[in-house]
Amino acid sequence: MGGDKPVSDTRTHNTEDYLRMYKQMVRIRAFEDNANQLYLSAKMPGLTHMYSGQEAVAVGICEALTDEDRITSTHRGHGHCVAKGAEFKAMFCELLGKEEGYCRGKGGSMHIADQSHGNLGANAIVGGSMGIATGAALSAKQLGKDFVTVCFFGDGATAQGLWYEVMNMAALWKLPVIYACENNGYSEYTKTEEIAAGSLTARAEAFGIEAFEVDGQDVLAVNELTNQLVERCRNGEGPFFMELKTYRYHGHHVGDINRDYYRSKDEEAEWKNVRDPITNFGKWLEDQNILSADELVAINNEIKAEAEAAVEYALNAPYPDTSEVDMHVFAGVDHALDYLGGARG
Amino acid sequence: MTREVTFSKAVNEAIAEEMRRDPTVFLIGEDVAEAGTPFKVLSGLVEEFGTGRVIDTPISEPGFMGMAVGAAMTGSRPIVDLMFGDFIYLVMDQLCNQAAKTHYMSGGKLKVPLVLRTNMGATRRSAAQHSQSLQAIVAHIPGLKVAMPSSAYEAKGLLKTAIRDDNPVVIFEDKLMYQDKALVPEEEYLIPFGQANVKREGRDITLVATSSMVQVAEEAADALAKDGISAEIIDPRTIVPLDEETILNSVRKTSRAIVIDEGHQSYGVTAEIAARISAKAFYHLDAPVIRMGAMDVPVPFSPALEDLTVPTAAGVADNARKICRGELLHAA
Amino acid sequence: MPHDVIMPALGMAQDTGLLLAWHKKPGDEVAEGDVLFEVETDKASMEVEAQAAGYLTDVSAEPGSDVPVGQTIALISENPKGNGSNSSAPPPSEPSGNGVAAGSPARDSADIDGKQVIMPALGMAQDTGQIISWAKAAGDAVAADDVLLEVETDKSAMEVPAGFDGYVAAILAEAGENVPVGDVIAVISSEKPDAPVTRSAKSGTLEPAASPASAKSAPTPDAPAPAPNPAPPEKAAPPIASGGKILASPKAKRLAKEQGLDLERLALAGVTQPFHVADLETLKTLPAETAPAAATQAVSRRIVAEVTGTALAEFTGWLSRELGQKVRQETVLAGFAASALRATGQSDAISVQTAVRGLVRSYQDPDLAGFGHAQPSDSDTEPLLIVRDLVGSPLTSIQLGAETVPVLTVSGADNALTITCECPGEALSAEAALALTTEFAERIGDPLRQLL
Repeated sequence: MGGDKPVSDTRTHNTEDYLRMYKQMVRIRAFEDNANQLYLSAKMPGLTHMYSGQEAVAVGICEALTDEDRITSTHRGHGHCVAKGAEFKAMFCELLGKEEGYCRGKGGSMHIADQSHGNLGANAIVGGSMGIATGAALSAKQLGKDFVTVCFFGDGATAQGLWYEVMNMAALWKLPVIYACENNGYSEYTKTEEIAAGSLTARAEAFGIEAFEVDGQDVLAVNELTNQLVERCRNGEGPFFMELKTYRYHGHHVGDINRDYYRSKDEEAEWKNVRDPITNFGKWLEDQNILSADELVAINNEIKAEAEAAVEYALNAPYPDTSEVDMHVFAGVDHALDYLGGARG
Repeated sequence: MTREVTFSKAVNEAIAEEMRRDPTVFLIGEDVAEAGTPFKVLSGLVEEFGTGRVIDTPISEPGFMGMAVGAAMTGSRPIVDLMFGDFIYLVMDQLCNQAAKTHYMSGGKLKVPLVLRTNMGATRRSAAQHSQSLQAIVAHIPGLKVAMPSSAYEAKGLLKTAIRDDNPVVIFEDKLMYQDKALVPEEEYLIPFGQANVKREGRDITLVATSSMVQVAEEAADALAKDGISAEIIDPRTIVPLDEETILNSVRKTSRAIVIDEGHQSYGVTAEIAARISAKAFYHLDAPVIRMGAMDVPVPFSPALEDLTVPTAAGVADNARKICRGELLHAA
Repeated sequence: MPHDVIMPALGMAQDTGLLLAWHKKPGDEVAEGDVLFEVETDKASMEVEAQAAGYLTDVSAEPGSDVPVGQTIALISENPKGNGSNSSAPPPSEPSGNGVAAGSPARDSADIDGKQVIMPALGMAQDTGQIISWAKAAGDAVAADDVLLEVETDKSAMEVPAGFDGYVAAILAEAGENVPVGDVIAVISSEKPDAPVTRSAKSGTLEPAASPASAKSAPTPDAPAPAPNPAPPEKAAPPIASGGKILASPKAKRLAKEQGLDLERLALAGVTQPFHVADLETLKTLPAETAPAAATQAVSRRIVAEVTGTALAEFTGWLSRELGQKVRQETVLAGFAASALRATGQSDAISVQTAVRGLVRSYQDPDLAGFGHAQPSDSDTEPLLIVRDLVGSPLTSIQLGAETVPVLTVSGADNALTITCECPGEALSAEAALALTTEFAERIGDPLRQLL
């Protein structure tokens, strides 16, 4: 492990920053709670993967980024999306396949992209976005721009060969990319220790990439480290790797209910009760006299209401017109089938 | 004004012209800079544009392919050089799951303007992993455009169009054709996608031929002319999009068609085009549409075997004679 | 070799003929040309002459019965007792869609209880089907949908389902044999047969099949007695055009439809399938004789003329006297007909077929031979014209429908002859048909015209 271990409270944040980080984490939790309910009540097509428990990672990192900075996201991507600035309504609409969704209902939960906030999209192929993130960093270099790209991926994705190919090139060409590995302890239904040999940080270090381990439940620690690394990236010191130790509260996806066979309820309870990033940050805000307990509750309730209203809105929103089915296949082509000809004959 | 230029030079000119025109264009791939690729197609470009825009990569096809996707999504227009078409299998996820689908999955918000230049073609005695013609595999994927230049003229005009296209485009160049010369205008020109070229007009049979097979079709047409059979040759130039109308109009005129492509015959480009002809010009057909693709075997190394696997002019002419005579090749 | 006496196809769209009367009795000696029996077709009764000499035997159709065209109704044998091979009358059988007919017994298979499986008519212009293989053996249990055998027709192999549930009681033809359409080739019984039978169609000998359980055991002596007399195949009705599938290129089919051409005529003419556009040229030049009776929607022309026959009788008599030998009226009529046809513009060789009381003869250019000199030829050239002489018969009005070439029928009595011209629209234009009839009638009415 390289670099200095950041200390949460060594850097001055103003109250607004803290407040926004707290709100963003609560927003992610509220979004996921509602998404889970949509699934359980059979109102949502398909499956989705809950980010609950990992909020400090997404928020800590994205709060260090501008809208120009890019992220690539994963199948467990709602948190990244919210943290990067997305709106509830368009997100819920996308989850429900509605026209007003971020991708006009074409992507769904696993492919939400929010170009306006620099989210290059979630990716349903594990590790699938590592090339894209590194390429975005290459693009910044080619175009002489100073945006930084953060590549979110899970511990499971570290087993994909693509990562090593692109880390190699990123290191060779000093690309402004931060590989952010959210190690939530499970590669789908398998303990990470069963799929990862050696240390993850050592893998990055093998390419001469500075690697950091950070507590993914500590939003300030994450944010502090990211701030430093983003700054260094802009100075041409990239790339970097960080391993964020975190935990997913739900199963691999919303349908993964009976999971005793790979992890215990006690383990889950311990993380939720002792290490919850929102609760702990809330306590810290209270301790620092930044927010009162009542204010925290008020924030929670306000966001909860906002999420529920967005769900209501999305449930009532229209589906895309069926004529959209062959739109957006090619840029510059209205309807692909007319363009391709063969599909209708 | 035109001059004779090799296929290789035409490709080189297209890239150079577009890189001069658009600073967001860059070239990335294995040994593209000083080496100028094993086929020397890119020689000289690094001298003009430097290693900053002519980027040699490690041997990491999925890696640089994926990076090209990300670069294309963020304002660059990368040209990826894939040394052999066979390596498409290495980049399938990045090409087919990422590049091809991003525009659609994002509801039109993200674009992936990249060009994947690669090659195809057997009979270089390169055996099964360096001789494949995999255009059908790529053409199968919605969201990818596929161009197949048949001469230096097409190579330049199609590549320039590809570089300016806002979508991922795969160009297959026949590696045996790199030294072939053709007349190429001095002036700038583009060849629009989806516009087939009627290479030769004819009356009795339509030969739809792609890339390397256009030469084969021409040779076959010469032989057929001696037998009084007049063959029309259509070069689709892009197989996605496909200029169906030109092909169908030709078949409506000739009533017979052979489709020739160097990819494997089964489930291939020939099958697709033959199916469209059969469906859309059915009542104009006086013979079944014949597919001629590469034999459905891995490309063998031995010359004695390899030459058996690709469509030949003699084979095309033979089939053409048979169907013009009303002999069914596969009578029930 | 006995000669089959079959129910002839005489008219248009005729499936059966009503046997009115036998003019000979079983065992009678007959000469070629003798009237054997009388038949009523759609409109007219006609006498049918013997086509061979010998003894009438094995008569299997009774007067008053409607007999399918093509069916053998008797034999002309070398001895009065015949060979008994036509002992039972095959009933008209209606091949059903899957080629299976249930029903009354036929031939030797009559002895075997069960449903009869016949050789189906599968292709165009198909008289026989070759058995490629049997999918079941005698004694096997079968379901109606089971493939019983595979048959090769003109162009393709087809699987024939059993059509009945039960057991294969008999297989009456071997793989490789060509069996006439409509022949019984198997029998399916509802009970498991004690002694299933296998034989070839040729041998006609029934052999109990070795049962699977005792493959090597000898035929059981109490097997049903084999019927000893294989009958000549009963012919199924000629394949009706719509039943078969024509192989033609899509373009050829489209153009044929647009131009009102009937590809079935090409098939009936024996042109190799599949048809291509080039074959349409052949089709256009095809004489109408291959047009299938039932299928043609084409115009059928019928023109009737009346003249007195006195002059003709006088002319024929005069010719006979002049030449010192009997000149047959048909010879004169053939000459007139050829001459009349030539007058309509036909310049090539004209072959005329005459039919007088069932006797059919051919004349080659009878109008060029000199009066009374024309002799019947052996040529099997397809006639361009048929002259039917019914003078003296009680028939008054002839409307048989067009055959494939123009037919000129002369009927009535000397003082009032009726000349009926019937021809398909494709054979002659209306003008040509009128001209032909007029020329023919005028020559009969005034034979001296022929001299001019």
